[in-house]
Amino acid sequence: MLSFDNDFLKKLKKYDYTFIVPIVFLIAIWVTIFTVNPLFLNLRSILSVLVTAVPLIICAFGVTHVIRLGSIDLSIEGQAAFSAVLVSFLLQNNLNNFDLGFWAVIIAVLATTLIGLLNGVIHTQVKIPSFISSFGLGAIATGAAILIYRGEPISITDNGFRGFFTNWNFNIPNILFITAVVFIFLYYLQKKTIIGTYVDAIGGDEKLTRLNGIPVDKFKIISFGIAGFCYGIAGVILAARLGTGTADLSTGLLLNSIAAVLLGGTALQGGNGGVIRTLIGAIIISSLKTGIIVLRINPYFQEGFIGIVLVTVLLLGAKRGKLVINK
Amino acid sequence: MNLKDFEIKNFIPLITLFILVILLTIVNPEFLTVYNLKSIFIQASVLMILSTGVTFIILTGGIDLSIGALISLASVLIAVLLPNLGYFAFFIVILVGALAGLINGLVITKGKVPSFIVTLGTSGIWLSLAYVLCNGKPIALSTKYRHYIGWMSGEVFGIPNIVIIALSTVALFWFVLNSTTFGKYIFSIGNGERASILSGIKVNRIRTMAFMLNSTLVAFGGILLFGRLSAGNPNVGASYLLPAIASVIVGGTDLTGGFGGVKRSIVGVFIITLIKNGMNVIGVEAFAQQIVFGSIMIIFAALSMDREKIEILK
Repeated sequence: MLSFDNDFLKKLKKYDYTFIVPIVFLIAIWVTIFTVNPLFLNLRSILSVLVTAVPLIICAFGVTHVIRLGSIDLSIEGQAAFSAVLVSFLLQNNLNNFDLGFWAVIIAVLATTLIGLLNGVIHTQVKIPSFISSFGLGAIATGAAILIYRGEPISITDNGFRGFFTNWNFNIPNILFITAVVFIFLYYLQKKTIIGTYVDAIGGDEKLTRLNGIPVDKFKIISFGIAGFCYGIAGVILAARLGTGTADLSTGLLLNSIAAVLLGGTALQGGNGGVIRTLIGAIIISSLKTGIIVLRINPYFQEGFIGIVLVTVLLLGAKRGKLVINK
Repeated sequence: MNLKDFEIKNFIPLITLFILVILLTIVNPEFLTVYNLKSIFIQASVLMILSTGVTFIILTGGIDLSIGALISLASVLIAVLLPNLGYFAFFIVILVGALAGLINGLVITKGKVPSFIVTLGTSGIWLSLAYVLCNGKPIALSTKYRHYIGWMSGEVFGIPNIVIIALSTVALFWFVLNSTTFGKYIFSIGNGERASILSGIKVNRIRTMAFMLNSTLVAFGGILLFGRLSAGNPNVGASYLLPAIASVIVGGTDLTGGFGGVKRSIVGVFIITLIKNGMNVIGVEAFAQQIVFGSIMIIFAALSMDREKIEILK
């Protein structure tokens, strides 16, 4: 009997609570929302919360790989803004005669993928920490975004483009299909390709990985590129949803995305976690914001609340980390 | 003076500043007039105070991304409190700044998490508070309370008060960094945290104090900014984050900590201010500033970083 108890306790101790706690938290939020406002208890409003969360979900997907490396990317807002402005600049709009249709989307996403790759190249080849390379590059991307439209918002007049991202098919919003495709792609990368394996290895022990002859720098650069790809898609969705391209469309995405990744249970030190956890984390963030509105709390508190959640997660995860010296 | 000080890379910031002055004198014949220099010093004053604080943080090897949000909070808070509390309001805002730094420092040291992530989180909190306090709209100070901010806007012997305040603050903290035990501990932590712990320095306490010092200076910077604009604005801080960090790095303080100082940051502040000034003179749009600041920050970070100190770069 005693041995059974011991086994049971061991199992309990071994169990990875970082996966189950966020789900419990998410359920608690929704129970609260339904209790306060039972009108929310229908598929359409739940779907609309998901739709609002899509740019956040996709940005958080992107930064997940970077955080799994043990690095960080502070250029999320800058890159998403650049993509949003570039895509509206190249589509049919009120400012110029470009009308590239879906080529605009491809160019915008390609552009941020290149910015992401550049981020990785600067970080690994110029040898400066990722927080400063991405901080600088994020500022450059924001500056470039503002420079494209010079303070005058660009209105997108291409209704086909907007419709593609905002319409519903089979009672499900189109962008949820897009999100699913991005999710499957990233999940495949993480689970079935050497990129995912090596990203984990680098996050787990970079020195050892390098000693094993794995081209660490190459995989870091690729990961930053994938992140840029995701921010590009998020920027396009932001522009499509609002119908205008401005640089402040992406405000708040940085804090929210990183909070989503960490809240989902991916450790800041790298080496574990993944896109499923991030999906849960991002939905929690979005639900929290919905909750704040449902509870009639001043909406200006939203970002602060996310900040408090992020700090709390950091404090709770304190013992889990392997980082002794922190900078 | 040790050998390291003679390395050419340590003089790059000064040389850059010198070249900028020459270039600007050529482009703009009125550059070296008293009037123009005065306006450049006024422009640089808030940034000088901010970058002095950030220097302490970067010297320990950390970073503070919450300064922009804290400036906003300080400028809004003083706008709300000044009509009600008078001069006592300044004291409260400074205290709030110190408290913000204490929170940053405690979470960083107790949670054993990197400073950039903690300060990213707290920046969301400070900014939210700023927006809630003023309901998202700038608060102008009504004229009948203007006498409270008179000490910031006057002139003494032709030198603007704000410049005197900024320079004396910088001098004070230059002294703190170079001539006190606290300052020595800051350098020691930046040079080797583990060695500092082993030699009995209360590393966590010193780091927390560094964050408190920085946030207090940032709150003071917010007050000065409020004095210049006569209004509290929640959007005002965001534009100071990049220049403040960039000027410390451009000045040549090592991103990994342990090397640099307040004097270097002041050189950096003037490089940043002159670039801004020069871009206005040449007629380059202000939008391009972020591109320039971001680029030079990356370049100077790469130049001044001591890569022998860290094994792996994350």
